[in-house]
Amino acid sequence: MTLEEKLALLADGAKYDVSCSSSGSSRPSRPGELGNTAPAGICHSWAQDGRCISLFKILLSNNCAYDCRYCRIRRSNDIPRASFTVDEIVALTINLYRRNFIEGLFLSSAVLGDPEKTMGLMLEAVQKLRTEHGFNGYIHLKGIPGASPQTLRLAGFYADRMSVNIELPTEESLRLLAPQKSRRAILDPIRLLGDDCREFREHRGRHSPGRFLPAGQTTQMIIGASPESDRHILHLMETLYNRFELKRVYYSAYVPVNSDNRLPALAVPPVLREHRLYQADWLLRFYHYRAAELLDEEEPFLDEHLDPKAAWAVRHPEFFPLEVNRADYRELLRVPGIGVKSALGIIRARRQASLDFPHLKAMGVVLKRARWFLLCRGRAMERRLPEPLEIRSRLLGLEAPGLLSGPIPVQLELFK
Amino acid sequence: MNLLYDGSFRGFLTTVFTVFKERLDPVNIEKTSSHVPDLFEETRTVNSREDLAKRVILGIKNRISPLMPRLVLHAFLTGAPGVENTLLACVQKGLSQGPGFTDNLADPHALALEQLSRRCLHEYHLFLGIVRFRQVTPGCYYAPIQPENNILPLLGGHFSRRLGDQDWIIHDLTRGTALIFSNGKLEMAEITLDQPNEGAGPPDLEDEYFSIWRTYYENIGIADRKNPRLRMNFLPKKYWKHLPEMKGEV
Repeated sequence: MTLEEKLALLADGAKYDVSCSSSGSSRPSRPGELGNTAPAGICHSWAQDGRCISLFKILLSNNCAYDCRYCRIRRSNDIPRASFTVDEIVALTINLYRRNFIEGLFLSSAVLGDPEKTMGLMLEAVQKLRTEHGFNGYIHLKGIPGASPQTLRLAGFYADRMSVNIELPTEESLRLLAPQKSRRAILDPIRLLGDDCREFREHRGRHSPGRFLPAGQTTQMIIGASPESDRHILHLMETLYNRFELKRVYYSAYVPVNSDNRLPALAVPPVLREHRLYQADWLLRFYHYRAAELLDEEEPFLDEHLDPKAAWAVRHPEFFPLEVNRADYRELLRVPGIGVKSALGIIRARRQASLDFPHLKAMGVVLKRARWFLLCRGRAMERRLPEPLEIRSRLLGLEAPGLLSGPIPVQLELFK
Repeated sequence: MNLLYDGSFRGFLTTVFTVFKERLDPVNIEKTSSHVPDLFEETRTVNSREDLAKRVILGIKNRISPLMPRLVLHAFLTGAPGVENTLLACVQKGLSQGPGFTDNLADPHALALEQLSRRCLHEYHLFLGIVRFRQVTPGCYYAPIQPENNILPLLGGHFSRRLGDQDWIIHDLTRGTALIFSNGKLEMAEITLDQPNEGAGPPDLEDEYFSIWRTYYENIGIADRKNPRLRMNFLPKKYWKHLPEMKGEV
């Protein structure tokens, strides 16, 4: 098999890993060495599905010993198998980096033989890059559940970020769909790496023995392959952010790649649900919402028609309208149509002058959403602020015109 | 009065100095190269001077905001039509309003300054990712670019830190300028091509890693979730020309 054929297979195997971010680390460049990292992250291209390509994301091997139901490279599937050698990975990474194609390496792998051996090989590649080739670019390393704590910990000294995939939100689903993985085997390394990260952060100083995962850790779970509700997922997400201090949780809509009677038969991947979960994720991380505010037991799923922030705003008419010139930062963030950038802009600008609707529009506030929730200098944009129900239907009208008057219109067929 | 300058940032700042020094009003600042002679208007050419330019930078830094020099530079690099006059108005207003000026986004000039500078920085950040080098000789790399804003001078710092152990050239084909990094030293030079016709690049040098990259690119996207519009939002078609992965799609 040629190198390019191998690359095709092993990039293809890595594509379902969602994470590709290269942010959160500021590894400096050193004289005579190659590369550095940019704290904000840099995207180098965008794939046909619109996702950014920042890191060179590959599998070390797709020759898997496990048989997870949802996975395309599981043992019982008849597909061509390949593995990179450590030197091939190093050469590809260095050469692509020198041409500014990539921000660094994202190395994952199928379980090649046993977890410890796989993690060992991945560690070897990363060590070689860092020590022999003086590579200071970004490295994201997948933690293989079941590898020894020593190997995982050692990897943390070389990588910028590591991730162990939670895969499915509950233990039952995991038992059903990924029988060789246990919840403990997944959570133990997350806890171990998280504790070490905290330890290093607290004792950072002149005598610290190096960097340990400067960009922290992330995880990923599959949405729609198992029956959990959004509420369940949101609470899990909150725990992961607050207790385990994860930097990101990624969600991937389940794409049916195997036929198996334990899996749901979906015609299309639940991408809208995935999108709503990401929106909720942003609300937790940047907009100071709590999971319990977004969903309760009566409504365990996010509204498919309305984004979670607008849905919250419509459910809480007592919170609005807000006076733009007086509301504090966190209050402004709750207004649909105002994001982090425009909220900061408003705070900056109103110290200099009192603001009115045309100013907001010029600054980038989305007034077609925000108009129902704001007052400028004590006045609303229209003479009368509508009732919550009417606001909801107007917002719905913005998202999907025609949604209210019966079924969603579809393009008619010209030829049958 | 028309004031003409050489097109450089230094020249522009010298012109601003002249306007303040001689209390000229009203004025119209233009590049010498883009000026169309006018029968009725008085026209003067301002010679670029480093010391005067520095005084303007120092003045706007101390009297308006420490952020002001960067905002003005980035807005200037957009090369938007009439940007010189907008910036002059910003400086005048900034000096009369004092330190709050750059924050006052309710003011049309402050907002324009912010938006112009953002436009430039946005493209700068994009190009940190999409400058594509090819190996010309072992250890020496070349990248052609065609950005809308004149971001080339901004790129030097990033790439000399990141690729400090190799020699490289980034060539702005539209403006005929290039950054040359050799033996750890960065220089700006003018490089015009033999055939100056619009869009003619250097010979389409292929690099062995271009085809490897294309293979990677084709396999990393999820075909079930193909989304050309989303991709185009992030990476507009105007930038595809120098990206090897887009070669089949242009």
